[in-house]
Amino acid sequence: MTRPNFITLTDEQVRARKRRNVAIALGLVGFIVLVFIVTVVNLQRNTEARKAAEAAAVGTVLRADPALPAPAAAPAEGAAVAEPAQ
Amino acid sequence: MTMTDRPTRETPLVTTSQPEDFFQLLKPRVMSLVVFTAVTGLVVAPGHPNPLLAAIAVLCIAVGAGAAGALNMALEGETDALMRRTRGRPVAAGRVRKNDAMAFGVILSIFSVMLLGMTTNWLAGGLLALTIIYYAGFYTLLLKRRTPQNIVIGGAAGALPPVIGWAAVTGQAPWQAWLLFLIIFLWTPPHSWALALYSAGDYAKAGIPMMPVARGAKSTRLQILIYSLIFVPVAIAPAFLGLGGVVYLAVSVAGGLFFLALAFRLWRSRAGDQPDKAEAVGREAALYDVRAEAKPARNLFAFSILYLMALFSALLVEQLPGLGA
Repeated sequence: MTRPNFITLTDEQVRARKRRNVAIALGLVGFIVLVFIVTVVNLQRNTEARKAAEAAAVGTVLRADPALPAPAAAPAEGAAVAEPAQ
Repeated sequence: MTMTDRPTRETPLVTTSQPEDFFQLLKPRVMSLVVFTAVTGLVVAPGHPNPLLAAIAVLCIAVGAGAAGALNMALEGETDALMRRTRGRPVAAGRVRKNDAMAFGVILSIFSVMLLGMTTNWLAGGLLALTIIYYAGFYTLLLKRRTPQNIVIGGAAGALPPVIGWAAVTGQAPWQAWLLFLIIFLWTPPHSWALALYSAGDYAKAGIPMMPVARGAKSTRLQILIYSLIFVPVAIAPAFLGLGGVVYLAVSVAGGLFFLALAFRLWRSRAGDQPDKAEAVGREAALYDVRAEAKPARNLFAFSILYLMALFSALLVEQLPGLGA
């Protein structure tokens, strides 16, 4: 049985590999953190936009029904204009 | 700690590449200019982006531009090794293997485009992808060796970052964003050809048909002057189109006149007519260490960087409260 053509890494090669591995690990962790931040911020913005849209829709229904008294206070100017979700 | 594979002479089986070598693949100096122009597009665009998302967007644009640089170095390693200016680059110097640089560039490209798309919008992500493909694929593989107009057409890649920044905020790329694109696009030929005038020997050795190699120094000097005459009015235009204010007007006019004066001096000079200093004396030369005849070219090259930075700085400064355009 022939043995595969193994090579032994020098200390310098091992050190370089270790440093590269650490850099890759840091890069991946950084990427995960960035994706997490983006997700949280976008979720927050979309939730706020949805709330604003719902509030505007309720105001519209109340105004459109003649059987109901006029709403005490109309929604604030611009509340219906929710920032579009990204 | 053993591995099985068959080593080749060109690609060592085991690499001793360091993380710093991979960082150098990103062309940090070019990246800094890209970041600067992208930030300008982002700040000048109407709208109030979330600061956190804006910072991530800038990071994505920087990494994407760096990825394009890594792909360029992977594809150009052998050519880079022939030129003084580029022979110290990681792939050219043998510190990073070509395939490693290629994989690094591809992975960073995908990550940066996807993250930018997720963070802002897919117009910005798409423009970043276009920039990478244009630079690494179209410019490096096709244009660079085929036409002396390589950097004119290829310059579009370097001019896109402000448009990406603008699109990241607004989701659109209106004419104002393209005006910033046009400024960098027209700035590129005088800037690059001024450098090429005193590095022509290197380009000839590497077989790259830069303008001084393909058409000669005299024609290049004339074309630099013509491009400068087109570039400077375009650089001043934002002051009259609502994009820049008084500060921008002052900077663009004063700098533009000086730019034209340098271009005119270069046109009258004999820069590029003789082999550059390093070739003549047969030693390594610094980027700015040129023979006396080539100094007008070096001066225009150096000032062009300063002028572009000043233009975009002025746009940024005017966004400060109380200095609005």
